[in-house]
Amino acid sequence: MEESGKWDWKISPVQKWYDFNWQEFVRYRGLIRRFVKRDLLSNYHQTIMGSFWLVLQPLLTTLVFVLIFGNIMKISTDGFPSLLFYLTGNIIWGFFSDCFNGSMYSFRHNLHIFKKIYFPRLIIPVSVVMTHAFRLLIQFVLLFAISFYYLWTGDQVELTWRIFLFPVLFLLTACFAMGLGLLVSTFSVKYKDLENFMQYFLRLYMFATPIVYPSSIVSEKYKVLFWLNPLTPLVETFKSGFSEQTELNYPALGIAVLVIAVIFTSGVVLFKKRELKVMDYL
Amino acid sequence: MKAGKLVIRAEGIAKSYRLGITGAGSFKKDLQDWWHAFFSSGKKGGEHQDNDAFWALKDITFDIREGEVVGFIGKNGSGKSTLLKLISRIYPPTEGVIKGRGKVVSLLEVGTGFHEELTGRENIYLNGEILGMTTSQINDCYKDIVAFSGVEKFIDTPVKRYSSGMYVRLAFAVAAHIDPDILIIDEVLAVGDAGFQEKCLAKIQEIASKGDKTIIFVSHDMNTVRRLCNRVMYLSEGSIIADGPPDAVIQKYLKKEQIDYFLQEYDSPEQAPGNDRIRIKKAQIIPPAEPSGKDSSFVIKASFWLTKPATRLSLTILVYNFMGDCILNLDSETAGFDTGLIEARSVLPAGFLNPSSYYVTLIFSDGPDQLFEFPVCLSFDVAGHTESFSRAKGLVNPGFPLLLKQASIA
Repeated sequence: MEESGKWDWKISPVQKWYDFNWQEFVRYRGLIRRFVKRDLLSNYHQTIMGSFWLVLQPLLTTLVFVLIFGNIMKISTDGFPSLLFYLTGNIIWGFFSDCFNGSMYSFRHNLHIFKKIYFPRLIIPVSVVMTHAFRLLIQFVLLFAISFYYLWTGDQVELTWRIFLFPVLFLLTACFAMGLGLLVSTFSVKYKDLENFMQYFLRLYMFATPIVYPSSIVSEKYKVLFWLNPLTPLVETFKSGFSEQTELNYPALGIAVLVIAVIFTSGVVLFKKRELKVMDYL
Repeated sequence: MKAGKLVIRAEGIAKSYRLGITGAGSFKKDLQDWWHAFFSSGKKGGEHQDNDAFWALKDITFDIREGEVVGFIGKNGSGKSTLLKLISRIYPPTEGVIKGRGKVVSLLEVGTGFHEELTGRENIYLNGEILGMTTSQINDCYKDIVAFSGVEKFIDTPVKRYSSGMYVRLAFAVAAHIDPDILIIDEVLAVGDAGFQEKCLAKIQEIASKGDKTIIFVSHDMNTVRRLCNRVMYLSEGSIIADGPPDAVIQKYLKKEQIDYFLQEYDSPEQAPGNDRIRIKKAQIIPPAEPSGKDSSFVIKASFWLTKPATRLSLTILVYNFMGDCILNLDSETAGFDTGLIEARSVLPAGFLNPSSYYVTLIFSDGPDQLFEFPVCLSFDVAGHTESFSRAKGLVNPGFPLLLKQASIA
């Protein structure tokens, strides 16, 4: 009689893409918190400055940018104070590349755990993104402190209503980075070439995105292509939070949302479908 | 025994691994497979793969019921670990389906996910949640875990400062307090000192005795299997050869597999293991005719060809148990020998080794230089009394006289 009863779980050679076990994922939500805590704690153990590094890292990179791109190469910042200009770019780019790298190496960096125990593998990239989101939050404190300084000194900075878009912008950035990382991860476990290649792609991609230069210097010829990059409208909208003058490019934002939705969905679905299969190649 | 409800059903599961290196060659094959998958529907691509695939498991079917303690036994490479990993959802099967009911926790290793930099307390929570516990469940048994581990004093110290013994005890303490319906254990007992192993075994026995838990267990140690399990499956070359009550299956296993390991004999030096100094002719262990009888001594014999004269030749026999501890080191005398055939013989007296499984390694030396090591060339089991559950303490039982006498009468 019980032979024909209902089974709680089933392991078969091929996982169907629609077998997405949400309940299971939710049951393990505590684990996400543990991984985030682990990564935050272990990163700053045995450092003198501890969690101050969270703020120091983007600040140092920004100072290097200010020095090289601002003072030496004298690239325009569209009237922004250069510190604020490069800091905004750096924060959003750092968040993107950290989330992308973390998701891409989901399998390879956690192999020792994956070989011994099962839990929904998606926990790993999600907790990586959460860790970086937490770091982002602290960097925001720095960003607002600096923008208030400029407001106070009467520089060309203003706080616009668009700062309320920031959470959405970062959610989109996270989804984009994670989706892309997951897509790559499911293929790169078998052929590492893709991982090596992606590191070059990432460097190139930073220069295709208006991080160290304003979008105004891009020539008409490349404008369409330039705005098709989903990160471009996100970065520009982020920067426009501090200046009333810049117009929002709504069509580009719309396209970005669509592209990101497709990439994120396909990344998650493919990752889920292949989460066990990839273990054969590692 | 009353049959409990069905908790695991494996239907025709098989697992193959692709042999060879992943690179440009395998990429070409992948492309061919994709091509087949997309453009020639019906006919499945990848038949050409069969030549370079290794089948670790073939057509495995079984049912496991609630309350069963199932032991998987078999030689290294028989597929038992692969099977455990399939049930644990580490790898997908190549064919077949495994279905089950209830929460599964697998302990293929203790302390999975432990992080060196975190404290003992933080690691208890991290490891517990990896094993599928919730924070409140860990809170409830946190005190018990710490008490079981015996590392209270160091609980707020990073685990990288722990000794390996403390580390393992803490890790096992977490594992011992999870509360799954189905528990999968892969020789995690082979860690820690003998006293701690005993504690672990007792814990598993306690879980098993409740009757509503199902345990799947892999071990090389036949005495542990006999002690814990109420059903044993014997795997060989990826298939289940026998399935049934422990004693019968273990006997079959020992008969089938161990005999090869009682004797290794080579007719000519050319085919024999060895090198340009030494070639093995024969390594043999002669078990007692009557395993649990009075004279149950084991005789170890070896003979080998010496191809170059040695001035200070010696032979060392190492006896290991299956936990990997070296139990004995027997050294022969050192002497000069000419080329030709040399024979060696030794006896392990009756009752000297406690009941367990053992293997033998031979090492040939010329003075301080090691000529050749013949590792794990023999293996044998010392039978115990299956009725008695308590194992003799200690690794060996040398039987030194111990006298009691009444000194005075009160």
